[in-house]
Amino acid sequence: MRPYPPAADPHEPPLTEAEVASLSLVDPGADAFRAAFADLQVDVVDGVLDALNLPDVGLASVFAGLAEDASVDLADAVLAGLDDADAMLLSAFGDGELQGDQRARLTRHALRDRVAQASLRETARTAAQVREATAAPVDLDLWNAVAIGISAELEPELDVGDALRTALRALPPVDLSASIMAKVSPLNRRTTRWVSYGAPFMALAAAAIVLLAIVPGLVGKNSVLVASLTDVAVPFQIASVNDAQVEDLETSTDVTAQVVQFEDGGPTFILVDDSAPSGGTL
Amino acid sequence: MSVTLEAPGPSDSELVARVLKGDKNAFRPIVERYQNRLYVMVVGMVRDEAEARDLVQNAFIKAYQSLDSFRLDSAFYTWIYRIAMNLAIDSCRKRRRRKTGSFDEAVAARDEDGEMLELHHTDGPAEALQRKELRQRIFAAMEELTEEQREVLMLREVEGLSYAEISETMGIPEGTVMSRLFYARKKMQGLLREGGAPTAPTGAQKGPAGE
Repeated sequence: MRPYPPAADPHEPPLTEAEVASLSLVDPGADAFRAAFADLQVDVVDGVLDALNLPDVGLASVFAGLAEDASVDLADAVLAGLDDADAMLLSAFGDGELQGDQRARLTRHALRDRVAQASLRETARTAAQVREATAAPVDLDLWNAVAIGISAELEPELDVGDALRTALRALPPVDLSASIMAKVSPLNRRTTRWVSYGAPFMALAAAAIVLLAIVPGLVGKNSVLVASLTDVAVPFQIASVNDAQVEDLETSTDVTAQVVQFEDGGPTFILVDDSAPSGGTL
Repeated sequence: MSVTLEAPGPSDSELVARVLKGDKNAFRPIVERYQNRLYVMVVGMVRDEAEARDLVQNAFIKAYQSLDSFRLDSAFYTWIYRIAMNLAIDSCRKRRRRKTGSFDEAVAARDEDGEMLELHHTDGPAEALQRKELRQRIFAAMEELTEEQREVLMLREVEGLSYAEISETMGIPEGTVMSRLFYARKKMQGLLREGGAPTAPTGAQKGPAGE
């Protein structure tokens, strides 16, 4: 079987690390053509390709770049230039499964050959589509059905609200209103209680309690390590710390709030219990 | 961007050992740990969300019932994966024998109930429709693959396993993994072209061929 890709020119200098790292599957040379044909519809480009009786690897490589985002049909044309054995090697290369000299040769080839690039790009696109199509639903929870099947005892739903309330009330009262409110702007004190926030977070099962992760520093030095809640088994989801911030915080006199920071510099949690007895600390 | 906080819990082996000692509820973390991964693999095989849920559920029950045959020093996921995949393959073969209707008809019937639109309920209507269309095209193409091709494709593209890991999981040589994966991809890409390219994630869009 003939070697694929063809052996490199012995006079050509070896690839540098930077060249290998630059294997982004994008041909800079196609940019000019992309700009020149920017107003053309994709099907017009395909028509041109058909008229040219591709695959002409040189022209196809240019047009593959031109129609990069809609190059599935196009890739079909350019890939006709590869036989299965070659394409199989290229597929394995794209998966990072080749080693040594074979990998080096394929890397060099993929850097220069638009056909190879189109093939790798299409493989990556198909993989992404398969992943998206098969993604699990967000609410998948099979335990109850499995528990019935194996006759396991179904534990009562954990009352998150009660668990957290109990934990909160065991903590010493800390008046943090001044330190928090000084950092939250604008500050509007109203008689209604309302908490709004700028990042998605999962409300706990008990709506009476909310848990906010906020940017460290928003409370900053004023935050206090109040207690660990590790004895409360509460699975929850928080926003990445830099994505969350308090936009507005309005309070009432009958809300208890605690600020918890589990480690120095770590995310700060504000626990707000709006069902606490009147006379809360915030 | 959000992340799920998962408290470091007991290992699979520890949980299995507890189950074997009679603590059935120790099986719960195992279910919660692997249900999504298994579901994704199984739905890729059977292309039916409801059936995939049933099959994964049955796989956990079957695993529980034969848990004493599980070697505690081996990987639990690999073990239950094989159980789930065997169930999925059996289901595919039974369905093929029954020939009760095409996949497209089944999908269309479910769509009337809106089931597929609800799967990702954080989407807006336009995104949900777009996702549904993509799923239909991808699933229809996967329907045309052999079970072996479909499995190797899912193991690579979804699970992200290396050829060596796929070889171990499926019990086939690495060379077979390479060729089976290549032909699976080639067939998928050909079918997607025939049926119209799914909408590209970004940039220019192109309608199905012939439109």
